[in-house]
Amino acid sequence: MIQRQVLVDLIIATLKEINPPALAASGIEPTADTRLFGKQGVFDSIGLVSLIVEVEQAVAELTGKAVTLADDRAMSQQHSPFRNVGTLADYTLTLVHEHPGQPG
Amino acid sequence: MSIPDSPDSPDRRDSPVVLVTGTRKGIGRFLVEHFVRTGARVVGCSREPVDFTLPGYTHHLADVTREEDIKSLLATIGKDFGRLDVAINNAGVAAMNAALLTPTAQLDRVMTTNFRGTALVCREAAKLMMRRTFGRIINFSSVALPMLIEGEAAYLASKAAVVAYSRVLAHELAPYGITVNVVGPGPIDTDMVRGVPADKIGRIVERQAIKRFGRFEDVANVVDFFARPQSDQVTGQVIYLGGV
Repeated sequence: MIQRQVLVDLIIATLKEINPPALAASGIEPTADTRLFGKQGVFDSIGLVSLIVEVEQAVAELTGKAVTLADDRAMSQQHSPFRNVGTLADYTLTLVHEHPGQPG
Repeated sequence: MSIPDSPDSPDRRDSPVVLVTGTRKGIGRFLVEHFVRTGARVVGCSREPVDFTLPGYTHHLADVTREEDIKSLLATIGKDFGRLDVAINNAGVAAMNAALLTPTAQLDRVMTTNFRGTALVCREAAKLMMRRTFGRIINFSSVALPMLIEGEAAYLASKAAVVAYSRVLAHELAPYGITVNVVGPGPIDTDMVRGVPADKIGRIVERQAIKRFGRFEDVANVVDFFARPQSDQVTGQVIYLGGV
């Protein structure tokens, strides 16, 4: 079963690959606490779309599960799962575990 | 589009990947044959199996209204080819009924297939296209939409939704090198049109500037234009055939 830290690492790797201007300008090494969106977030809305798509594809390659991160539940939550790397990893982990098919 | 002449050419492995929905018959099947002839690698889907095979063509059973089918289809394309160049949302159903006599189930069916199906394929196709910062999405409307033909309210509402969705998507996907356009054929001799009363079809043809039935080739011509890499400045557009 996939561990949270694997997803945190995967999201950080994706984040570094995209390297949004705000992250590059800060010179800070991303962690699980790195804000993704909103106040002090490293992405604008277009950048966040890219991150979500890249993470979905990376998760599919890793687990064989085609999860949709921007699903109805994510959009209706009071606290967005896209706040920071850690919350995105948590939400991704939930979806991977809930997804039918082989264990993630 | 730089593509090999022969469908059997070994160069096909580097040629564009084209997805067409609703390929069992009619325009969808024609577009499969058309793109295979150009040397493209073509993937198609329908709810029922097809009765043909072609070198360079792969068929999948998938219902465009089912999110899991579409996610699985696009994941397979990503795994098999690593790219998607063109997505053609041809799958659709007709609904010919007076608005006041349209059953709720028919409303749902036509909106779900024509709009949600198109939107789901657009969404998942664009995710794959984003990898290469290139893509061409081509959706389907109908000349009956600008003509506001009576008795087609639900069908035309679904096509209006497709047009609006496509035009907004064109803006959202432009930064990724993906264009989104719409072709609106007039009446063509397909099963869908054969199910419409002849006098109604006749009135549509009569209102076109070019008063003849469309041909599959007419649709392919517009699709080719939208699909060309050179058409990278063409997005959010609707081309209606026949002169509306």
